[in-house]
Amino acid sequence: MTDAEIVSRIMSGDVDAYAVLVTRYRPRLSRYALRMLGNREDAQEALQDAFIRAYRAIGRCDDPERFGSWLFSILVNRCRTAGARSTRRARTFVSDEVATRSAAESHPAEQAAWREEIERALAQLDSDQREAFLLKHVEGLSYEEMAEITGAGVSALKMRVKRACDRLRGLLQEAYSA
Amino acid sequence: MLEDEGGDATIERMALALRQPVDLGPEVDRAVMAAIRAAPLRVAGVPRQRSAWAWLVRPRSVRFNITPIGALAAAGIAIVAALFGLRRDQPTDRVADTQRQTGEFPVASRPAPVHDTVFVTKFYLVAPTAKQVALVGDFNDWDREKTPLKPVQNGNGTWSVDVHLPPGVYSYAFLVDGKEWKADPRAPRSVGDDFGRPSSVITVVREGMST
Repeated sequence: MTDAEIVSRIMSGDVDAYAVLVTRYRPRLSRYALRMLGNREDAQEALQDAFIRAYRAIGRCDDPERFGSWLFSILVNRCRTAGARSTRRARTFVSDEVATRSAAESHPAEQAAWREEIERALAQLDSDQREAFLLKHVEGLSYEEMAEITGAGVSALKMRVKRACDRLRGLLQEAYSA
Repeated sequence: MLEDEGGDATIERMALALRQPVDLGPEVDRAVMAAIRAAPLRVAGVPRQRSAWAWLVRPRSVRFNITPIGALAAAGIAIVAALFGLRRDQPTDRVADTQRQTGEFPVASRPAPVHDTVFVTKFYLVAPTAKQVALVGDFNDWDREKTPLKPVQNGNGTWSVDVHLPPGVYSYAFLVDGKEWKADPRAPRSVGDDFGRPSSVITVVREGMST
């Protein structure tokens, strides 16, 4: 069943149809929320909030075939709001929350060290740079898609991504040279 | 491509690790569906529950002074004009025309509403270049087909529509030519702005409205 068909059923009053969309998009949105916010509690809260808000405003989804993109834009905004709040919880990247597998790091100790450095470096980025980096390099969006979601211009987004990469590279090199 | 965007092998390796799937778990599904089932979307024909806003519906008097249409020069400026108690057998257009002429909506001077009174909210949008304008809001499930505005005769590009609303708080926006969303600059912005579309809030009470 396509997103548009599900949206149509929801608009007709079929509440349970929304569960299909939640299950369909939860993995991808989980990844972004967790990478962006850095801890499970905040990520879960933002994700739930995004899903509920999307349901309440589903009539405002211009193109139900692209429900996923629209939902993703809501999550990006929820993550911004969550990130802008005073840090109720410290930004703590728990090691098992970030992916571990890396072909170049075969030894478990090296994997753990690499993982830890990724988490630390990502956490040190400005939120707009982290957002741009994740959307581009992790979610694989085009700059046009990023512009649509974030409301920022393509040039600004390219600059954010470049600065994020420069900063990440510097932080990782610094960590390894130390 | 990566080099152009500041990336290189180190960045790609990092991104590769970050692309690995994570899942916040089915408890998210359960929480979301529980919240939704507790307050499902209002489908046409099903009355809206507004207990949280019950305090808003107590009787009160509100007087409006709206800037005359002629003073509205800027295209695209939206006006939510008025709400007034109106008996069902009262000709809506005549009352609306009078109010457009005077720019005043003396709701306080109207008789106290009775049980069969309906409340009409008049929405205005000044959009001289628009070919069509629709009103979308949570009162019509954001359906662009349900509530089209009509051009006001000799209104200099003004569009309007009367909407019967029970007391409560509503989010709404104007949809111009089927693609451009406009919030009402004279009304509070909705917290729902983060859905990627601008929108406004209107509060309807028994004898008048505030925005």
